[in-house]
Amino acid sequence: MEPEPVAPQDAAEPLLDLEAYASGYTGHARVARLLFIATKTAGSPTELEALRLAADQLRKGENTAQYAEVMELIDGRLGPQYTLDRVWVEAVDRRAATVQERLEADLSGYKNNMIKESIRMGHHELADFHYARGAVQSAFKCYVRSRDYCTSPRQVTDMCLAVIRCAVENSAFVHVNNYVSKAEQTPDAVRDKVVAAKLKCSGALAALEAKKYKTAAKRFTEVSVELGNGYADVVAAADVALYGGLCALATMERPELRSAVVDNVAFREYLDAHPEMREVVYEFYGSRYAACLARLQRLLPLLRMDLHLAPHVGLLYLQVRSKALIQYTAPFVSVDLRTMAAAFSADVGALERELAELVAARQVQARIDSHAKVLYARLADPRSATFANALRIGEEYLRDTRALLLRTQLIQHDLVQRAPGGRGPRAPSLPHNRDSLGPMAA
Amino acid sequence: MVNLHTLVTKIKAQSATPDVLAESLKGMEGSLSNQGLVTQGMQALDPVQHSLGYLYLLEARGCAINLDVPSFVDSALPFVQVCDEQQIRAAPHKFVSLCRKMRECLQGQNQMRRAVLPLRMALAKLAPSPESLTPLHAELFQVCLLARTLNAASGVLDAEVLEIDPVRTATTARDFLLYCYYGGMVHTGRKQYARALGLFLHGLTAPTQVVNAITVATYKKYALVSLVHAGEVPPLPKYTATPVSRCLKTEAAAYQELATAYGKPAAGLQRVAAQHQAVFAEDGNTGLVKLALAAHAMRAIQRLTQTYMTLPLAAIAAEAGLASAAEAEHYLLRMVDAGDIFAQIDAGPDMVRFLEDPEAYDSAAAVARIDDAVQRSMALSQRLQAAHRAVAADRAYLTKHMARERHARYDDTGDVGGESQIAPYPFF
Repeated sequence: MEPEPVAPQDAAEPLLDLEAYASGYTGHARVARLLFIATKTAGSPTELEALRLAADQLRKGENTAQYAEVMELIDGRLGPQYTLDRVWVEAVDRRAATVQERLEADLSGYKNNMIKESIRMGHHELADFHYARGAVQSAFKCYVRSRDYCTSPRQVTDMCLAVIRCAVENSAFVHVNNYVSKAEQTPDAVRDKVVAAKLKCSGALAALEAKKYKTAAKRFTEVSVELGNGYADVVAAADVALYGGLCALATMERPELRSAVVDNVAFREYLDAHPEMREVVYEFYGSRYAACLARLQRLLPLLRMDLHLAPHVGLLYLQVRSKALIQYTAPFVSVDLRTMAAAFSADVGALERELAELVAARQVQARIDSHAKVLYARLADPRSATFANALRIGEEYLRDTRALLLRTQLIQHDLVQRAPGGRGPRAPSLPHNRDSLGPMAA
Repeated sequence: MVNLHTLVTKIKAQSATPDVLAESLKGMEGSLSNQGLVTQGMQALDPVQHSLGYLYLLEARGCAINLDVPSFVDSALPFVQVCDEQQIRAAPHKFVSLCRKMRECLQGQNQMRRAVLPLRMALAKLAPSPESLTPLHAELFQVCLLARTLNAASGVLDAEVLEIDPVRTATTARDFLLYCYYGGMVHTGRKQYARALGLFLHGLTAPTQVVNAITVATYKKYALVSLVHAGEVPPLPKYTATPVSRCLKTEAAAYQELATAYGKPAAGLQRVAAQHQAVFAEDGNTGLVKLALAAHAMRAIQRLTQTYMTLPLAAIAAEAGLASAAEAEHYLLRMVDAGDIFAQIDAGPDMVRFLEDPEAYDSAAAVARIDDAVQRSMALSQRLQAAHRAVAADRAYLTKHMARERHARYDDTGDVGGESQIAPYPFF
């Protein structure tokens, strides 16, 4: 991708301390996130900074293909220090080729000897090698192949976690779900808190990716405190707080939010790793919506640069806002729209439209007096509703039963349209007609 | 060949036993192509006392003559009203065919109105009970539609069909489809959309192995009436025959597109409607499409009543996609009139105040309504029980059921000890 020479986009960018941000991650995750930021900020100084950090990281590893790509992206803009180092690349490639040859030879040797444990080790080592070289798809395959040779629960969880790591990198979240549930069946996943937490994180990520925000929120808030930043090659501790917090605000009801987030000791530890999100959550919970939404708005450019959250930010923000509006109106019999607009620092007209949408979607039980700009809570009348419902169901019963009787008659008398010509009208006691009558009557 | 004397004597002698007479007349059908014989025979017979013989002769005449001979109609119209129902029921095919001929003649002469009453009486004579279907149902509805006398069909439509007997009424699968199609159209014309939808749905879900053009036409009407009545086209039930549900995507694409556009703002809907205008006009559905478009605006207004207590007319027009406040006012007045919404217009600031539904279900009328619904449900429930019992006692069904049960029991024994097949190591 050719970066376009565009002027720096907005002044909010200095918010992001790239170096500190990158240090929250290790391994592939660090590079992947830096490169994602680079694509989002193409043309700005942030892009170059991100690329520089990515190049530094890649230089330490063996992933020469990605290194070459990054160098091409930098395109000499960072001075002679950051140009493609052919000598290094060739040396690494040569070394890698010999290592791969040796590993493959070892593996086929093990296979001939039929020693389970050695075969597993062989697959695993080859997979690790591929992973280090950046061939994630091949690594994924090798890890999966080692599956048949796992003998202890420990090995199973290790294999699953390795597969999950590869799948997350490839955005193959179906596999993530698959292997999370596989790993969760092993006794190890219960005993080892860190493994359990890693699995929760992975499952939550998959749910987030599938837009199942409620599930994601639940899983993120269940991550136990032992994990800390121990899963930095996939998600950092701050991410758990950020993703979990945002999803929880968007989907959880107030009591749920209280038990799962605010009173959750483990999750509070994570929130401390992301102070901005912590403030957002507490302000939301304390019903200081204007401040909360303003803070979220400040966070927005940052979140748009987040590898996993970026595609969902818009939807989640909308849901958080709706939740805030709903919670604000819930305790009142009538709400002055002007006061409410002030509380949300919004325009009265726009607020009225937003509320109208929520009312139409039956998320707010109220009606708007557009003339006086007042929102009146609507008290449901269960008696009338029951009557209306009973009448409706009665009509449905009549209709369905009539249809049933008519169809039975049609089938019984074999009044079935058939292709003209053919064999002509058939006798009414044909077995398939009886078949279709059977289940209906039974 | 039989001569006049034999024919007339036989008919006169056997009129008391219609079944026997029907058999012997069937043997003589060949001779009835002789027009002279038919004319003289009809003169010799009394239409009431010798209805069956008269029916055979008249039908033979109808087959032979050119359609615009008024004398056939003039003898057929009184005959179907006065004939003896016991006798004509011995030859339902002939009777139906006669009525069809009569209708065709009148249609050719553009005198549909004359057919309405005779057909209604003919129907009453042919049907063994008010709830059984005859081929004349569809004929009558079609005549009513063409003659624009929809209310004439109301009595027949209100007695809902629950019985179909092809042997006694000469009903075919096609007759059933036509009954649903025309009946639904009559209901639609009388603005009883829910019942129209019910009938259309019967037609759509009738068991079939091929797709009939009537079914496709029914679906088109069904889609449009659903939009008018409910604002969406519900998916067809699971028991719809596969060929039908499969072919609708291609056969009624314009209608499905309209249904998809219906859930979206008015501008897009107008565009889709205009785009397929030719298709709708060709199917004769332009009127229904127009109704559906009007209903779209009304539905939008109805949704507003759930959201707002007061709203300026101009805002209503904007929300419902209407051109002006005046148009919105026009719609509002119509809807308040029809009892669809409850609202007051404050002319000063042009504000509309929406009120809640005042129905509290505490009046005598409400109780009567509920009681009526309960009674109807109970009656139908009894009928269902009877049908259930009839099936349970059906020899063919029992034989089949027993065989299956024996088979199932045999299968069960295979499951004993099945647990041992589950792997002891539950990892994968």
